Amino acid sequence: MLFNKKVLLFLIITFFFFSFKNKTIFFSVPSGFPKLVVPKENPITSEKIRLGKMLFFDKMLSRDSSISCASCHNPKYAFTDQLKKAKGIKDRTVSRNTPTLTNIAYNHSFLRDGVNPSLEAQVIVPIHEKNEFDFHILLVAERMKKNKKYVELSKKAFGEEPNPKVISNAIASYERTLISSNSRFDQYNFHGDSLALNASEIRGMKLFYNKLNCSSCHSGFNFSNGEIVNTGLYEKYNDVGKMRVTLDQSDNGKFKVPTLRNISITYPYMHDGNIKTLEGVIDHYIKGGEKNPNKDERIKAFNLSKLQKQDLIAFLKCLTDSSFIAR
Amino acid sequence: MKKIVIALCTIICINSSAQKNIVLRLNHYLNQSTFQYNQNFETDGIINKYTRLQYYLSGFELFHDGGQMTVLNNTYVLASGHITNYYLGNFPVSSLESISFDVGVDQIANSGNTTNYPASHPLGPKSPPMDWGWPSGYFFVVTNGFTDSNNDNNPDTRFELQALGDQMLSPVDQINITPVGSNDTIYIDLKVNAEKFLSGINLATAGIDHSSSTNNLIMCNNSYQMNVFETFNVTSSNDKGLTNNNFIHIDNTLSYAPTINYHFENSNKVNLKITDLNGKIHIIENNLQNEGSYFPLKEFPSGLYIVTIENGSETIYKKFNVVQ
Repeated sequence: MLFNKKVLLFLIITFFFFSFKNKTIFFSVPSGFPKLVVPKENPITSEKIRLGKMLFFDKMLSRDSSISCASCHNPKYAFTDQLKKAKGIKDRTVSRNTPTLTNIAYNHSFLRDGVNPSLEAQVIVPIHEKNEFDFHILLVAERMKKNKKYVELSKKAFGEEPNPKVISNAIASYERTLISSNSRFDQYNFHGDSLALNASEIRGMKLFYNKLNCSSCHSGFNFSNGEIVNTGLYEKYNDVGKMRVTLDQSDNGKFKVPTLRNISITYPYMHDGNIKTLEGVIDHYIKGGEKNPNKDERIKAFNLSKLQKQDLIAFLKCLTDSSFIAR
Repeated sequence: MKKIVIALCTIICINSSAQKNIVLRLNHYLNQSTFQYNQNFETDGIINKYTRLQYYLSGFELFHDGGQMTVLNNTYVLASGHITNYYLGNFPVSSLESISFDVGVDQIANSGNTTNYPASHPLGPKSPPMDWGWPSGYFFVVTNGFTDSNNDNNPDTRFELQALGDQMLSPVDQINITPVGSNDTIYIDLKVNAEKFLSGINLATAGIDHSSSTNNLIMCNNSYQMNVFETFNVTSSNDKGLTNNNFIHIDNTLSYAPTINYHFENSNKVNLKITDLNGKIHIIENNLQNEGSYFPLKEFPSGLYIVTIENGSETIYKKFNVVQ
């Protein structure tokens, strides 16, 4: 019987060894998080992640080799740049604030206005965008072909020389690994550490979930329901948001509900970075936003005492995952 | 005896349904003259000129051999004003009667990712891009150029219409054809009245419009409403009024990486060379098709360059500027 157990153990170990040998990565889903859905056309492998990470930090993706994905999506700032609006090559100003990549693997739509359907498809946007990398993905592939390391990694990860598919699938694979699940909120809520939050933070959490119902939009494990909404930031939006693609007036000023994870370090806020502080964002919602025909009906004026505001901000600050930003 | 008859019938059947290469020939015209870029033409009485004309065709249906229909799934054509020949595939067709297709790409392809295809595939990454990365969709029809907005007969107001969105898909009903064939190839000739894409659009105010706008919808719908595509008798194709329509057109959409559009009437293969003003050779490509769009996979320093293309009997060249 003992022999059989050993054989069984050996077989299990062998199975997992060969699973990894076949390069498919099995993520352990953090407590409280749903299963990660990865496109079947682009299963995650360790080689793809390695290649994707190298590309993510490589400035040769931009035409003049001055900036990389990480220039705007800086890990130190939870994959943002803490700028009002992102900067492209030659100091060109991008029209929007850089969104965080925190738990981007769980998103169903991409870019600030949610008009892009997949992480793989999104990769080409900053490469081709005139105010970002202002380059062409075919020429990025040519640059990669001149680098032995890239050729080697591409062949290992995809069995192919560098090409546009290699670039988009590798970077998407790396971005899917940017999972943040170790904030003090997670320790309190998912890991059973009842001392992880102090009294003020707990009061703030109750305000967040109950009285203020922030969680009607910033819901679930990732603090976003993924909806594209108008929050009444302006009476008239200079950036029309989703309408830019749909041309539908009812989409004017609509942007994706962002995750609140790591929110204390991803300032300034909103799609255009026009609000510098969390206090400012809360003031916007206390006021009920500006008049706008497309404003979401959940945005309504409310009262909040000074102490309650402090509690709410304290709660938002405990969504910071220091292990995530240290990666 | 019976076996011999069966064998003969089988041979006849096999022969009658032999596989043939099907080539679509899109004969582009502007007001009855052979298409050229930067050539003035009239639409609705206004003078315009094209600097870029590209569009997708898909959903092909071939009607052949006395009422049979063959659907060409997953066949896409990226047509350009300067390119006539498009290979559709090899099919069991003997005699073609008509063809129908859609202008644009189907919803499934349109929701896909351009990087899933190699650059040589019509749906793969192009230069200048035929997709808009933001929503990840293809431009169904692209017309860029200039229009005469002040009646001085000089088209100098820029327009850039690039139609995007599933609703732009425009079906072109059956067009009767007079196929020209050889033993193994059937050519489907269509006349493309390229000026008609712009009918009913106020180009003076159109501006740069990459979207699902009304103007772009009109442009796509003109495919069938204005009969952009017509039956074409190949005999008349010899009456184009031009004996020499060989040209190079530089597309400068990407200032740092121009695309070289070229067209030779003669079907001989061509050789392409790019040199700088000091004569230094930067690129040599031999045995290219007689017409095409060449995107150099090389980064040029800023400066002036000369592209030379020759087909054995004629050499043409053009200067182009690279701005990094």
